[in-house]
Amino acid sequence: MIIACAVLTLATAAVLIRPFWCARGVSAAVAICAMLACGGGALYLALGRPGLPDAPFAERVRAPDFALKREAWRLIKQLERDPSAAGFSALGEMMVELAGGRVTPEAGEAFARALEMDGNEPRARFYAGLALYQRGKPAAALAVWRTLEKNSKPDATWLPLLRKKIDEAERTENRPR
Amino acid sequence: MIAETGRYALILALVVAVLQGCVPLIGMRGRDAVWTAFAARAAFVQFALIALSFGALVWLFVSSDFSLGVVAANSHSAKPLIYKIAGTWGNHEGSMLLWVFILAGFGAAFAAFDRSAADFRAAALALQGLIGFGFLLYVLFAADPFVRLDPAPIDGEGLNPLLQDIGLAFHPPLLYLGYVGASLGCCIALAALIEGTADAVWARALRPWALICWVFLTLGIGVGAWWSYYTLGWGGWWAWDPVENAALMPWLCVTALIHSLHAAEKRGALQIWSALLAILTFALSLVGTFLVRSGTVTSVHAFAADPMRGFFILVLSVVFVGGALTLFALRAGRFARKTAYAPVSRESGILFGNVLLAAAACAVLIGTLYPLAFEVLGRGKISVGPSYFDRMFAVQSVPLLLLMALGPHIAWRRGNLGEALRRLRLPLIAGIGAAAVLAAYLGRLGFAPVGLGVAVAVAASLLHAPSWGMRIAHFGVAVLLAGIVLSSSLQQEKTASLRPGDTLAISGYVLHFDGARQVTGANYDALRTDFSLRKNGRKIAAMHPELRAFENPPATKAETAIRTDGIGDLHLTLSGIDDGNTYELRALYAPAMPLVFLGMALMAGGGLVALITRRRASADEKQIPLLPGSPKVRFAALIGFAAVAGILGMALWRSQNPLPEPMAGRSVPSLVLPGLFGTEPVRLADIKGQKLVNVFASWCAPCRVEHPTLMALAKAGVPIIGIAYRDKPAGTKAMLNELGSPYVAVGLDEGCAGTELAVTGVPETLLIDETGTIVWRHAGPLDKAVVANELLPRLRGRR
Repeated sequence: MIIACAVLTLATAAVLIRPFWCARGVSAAVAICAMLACGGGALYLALGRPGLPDAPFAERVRAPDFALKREAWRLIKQLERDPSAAGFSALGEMMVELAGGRVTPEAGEAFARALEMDGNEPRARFYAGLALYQRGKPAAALAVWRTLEKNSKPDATWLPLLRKKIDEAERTENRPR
Repeated sequence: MIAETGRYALILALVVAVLQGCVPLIGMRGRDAVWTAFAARAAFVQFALIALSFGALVWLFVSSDFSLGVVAANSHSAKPLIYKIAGTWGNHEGSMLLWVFILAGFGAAFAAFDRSAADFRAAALALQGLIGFGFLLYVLFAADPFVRLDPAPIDGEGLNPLLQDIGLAFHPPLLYLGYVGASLGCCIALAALIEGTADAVWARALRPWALICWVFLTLGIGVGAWWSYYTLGWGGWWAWDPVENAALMPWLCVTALIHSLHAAEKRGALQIWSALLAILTFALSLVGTFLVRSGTVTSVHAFAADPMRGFFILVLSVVFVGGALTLFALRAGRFARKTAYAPVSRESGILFGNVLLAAAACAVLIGTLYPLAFEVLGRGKISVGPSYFDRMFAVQSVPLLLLMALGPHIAWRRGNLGEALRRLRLPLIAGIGAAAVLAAYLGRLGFAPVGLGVAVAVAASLLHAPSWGMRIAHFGVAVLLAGIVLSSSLQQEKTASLRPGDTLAISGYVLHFDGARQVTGANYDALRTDFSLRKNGRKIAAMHPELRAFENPPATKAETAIRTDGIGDLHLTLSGIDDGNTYELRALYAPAMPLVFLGMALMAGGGLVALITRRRASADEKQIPLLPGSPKVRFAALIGFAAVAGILGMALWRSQNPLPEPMAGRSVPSLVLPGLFGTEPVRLADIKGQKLVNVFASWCAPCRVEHPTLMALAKAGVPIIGIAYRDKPAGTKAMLNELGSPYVAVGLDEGCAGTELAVTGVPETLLIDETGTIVWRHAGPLDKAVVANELLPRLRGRR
């Protein structure tokens, strides 16, 4: 970036001072160069973001988690128009996936929104439990998950995963510290 | 890298503009040729740098680089390439960069092609550099297109589908070429004032640039009219919208300028007047920019309004125009030469025509600013309707057009009116004949037959015109006028509910409705209908009006199908669907519409011809110096401008503060409006509880923008009463059928409701509480932020 700016300044200065140089008006030429370099540099330092690279869309699409990010972004747009509990908990789940399985504060906020709209949203409740578990509160997590297990229909799709997590939490809880 | 290089190039251009503005002026003082020659070099360099910067911005739009704020806000990865490119100037920041790019382009072109004296050239370029400096400051500090976002958003916010159109790709750049060309004209006139060159040289230097400015303004206005004609789908192409007026005022001024320059160049007459016109053209194009960008006037074009920017542009205009007019007032005396000419002569004709054109520009200015002035003075709110402008123009255009027919037949210096009239005998007879035929057909006299008569007379008088450029351009004016008159007096309109298999007859055509299907476009889904058009039992064409649904941002838009048969245009607009299989169709046949656009194209073509055919240098350049103009007259322009700037400034000040509620505490007037649907009148006082009153119109684009917000409010259970403001009932119905109606009742405003509720423009929304008092008002489209921050806290019992 610095090189590009320097080249541009030099080229501009060279074209501008040529007649002065030929007519031996050295002081004017130097003054013009100084103005270009100082004015341009100072303004750029005040306004520019020299370290920030370009982000062309075609390149970003190739990033491994871009498809998921894009889906999450679309969901956010949709939720702005038409908020729903299921939508917010789906969004939270995507955020968890993007964070490699960790319930980040942003994801927690999405689940909180979902639960605010519908206290029985199962997915949001599951992740609310997971957040507690990840923060080292297995007892509280177990309480949330057990209630969820009790309220779920016996053929609910999430039961196997939920039971696995409950087992895991119980083991952590019983492990001596 | 590309984004930052673009920004750095822009910063360097700013520094170069400062140098371009100062160095040559120092050089002129010291009579140093190297220093004065610097101006041209700096103009080229400045152009190259801004071109680099603009190219970078176009590239960032094409590559959908959402780390750039403007790209994220105005583009979308799924948008077709042409609209990605057009999106570069489809927003405020990009359009201002285009503005300085064109400004620098004009500077470079002037430096390359002008052949005047070195000092004169340097002065003009230095002034151009100072204007460039002002606008570059504005771009960098108030409308920076290179603001970066970190992290970059995943995708863009799209572009308003109404603006996603091929017309958008050409309309603003053409208009800008015209506006910015006016700045160069102003600089040349000022350079002549500084240098005191009181001969035809400066007029000759100015002429090509004034012509270029005129050609581009004509094209820009024409393309804009054409765009609104075929996208907005109500058959209108000119609505006297403040922003349209903003383009028309400099156009009228520069039209006067190219005529007065003709006299200045040929005879050395009208020089001061020409210099003043060159300055005023620039002043009016700055007023135009101010009106578009500040949001002081509610307008179809007000998509990106921001009072802060308006303040900046106002300061720039005051500095530039105030400085220019002061210089004019101080120097015009020394610059003044007068040539003698008789009252009946080409010079007098041109002067008289100029006065009429200037009066027309004044009338438009007054009509546009009157509501602002009225409000600033605390007298309440009013609006000036199209009827004012229509009447004003009808009255002023008849003498102007007769002069257009007569003028070219009168000689320079001393003409012979009798002789000219004798030569015009045949055209006048032809005109009267045409007027009589139309009057007999319509069964009435009025503006239409008179207008047609004048148009025919002008066209016929051109057989003996002196130059081709003028012949073509004046013929274009006649064609345009004939088009306006015929299309407005002879058009036919029908609305019908059709099922597949039904037919509709209009103007000798039979429309057969074949059916509808769902199609998918690049970034929208559409319901596409198939109509076959038959004439004398033979199928001659297929037409496909559509209803398009855009996803990002969500919006619906009716795509009108237009077919021209060379004589007239047939419009088909789908306004809605009832019970699944009945389609609401509006069919409009506008005869002679092609003439309107042909006329504008001919005018621009005539300008181009005049530009490339060099005029023979006149042999008669003897000048008779006379007394300079009186100082009082010279300062009048400055005082007038100060008044205009004052009004604009105060209007801006008011618009930054919440609008003073002129009706505060007063209960809602017991308005009774004729209902849109059915027979029941709408009584404003009848609807109980808290309610919103939304003033809208089908011709108003921001109303379409706020429509989804209103739908959401209606869904949340807020009763909204719609008032259709200065709108045809058919148009309102079509819009509501197309987009859905958020209203519990829709009333028609027949002129008094707007005044009684003190409405400034459309859209405007008022909140009325249980006791019937107006408690809140919002001028302009409602959006999420306004609803969340201002409206919801005031709505009791709702979240």
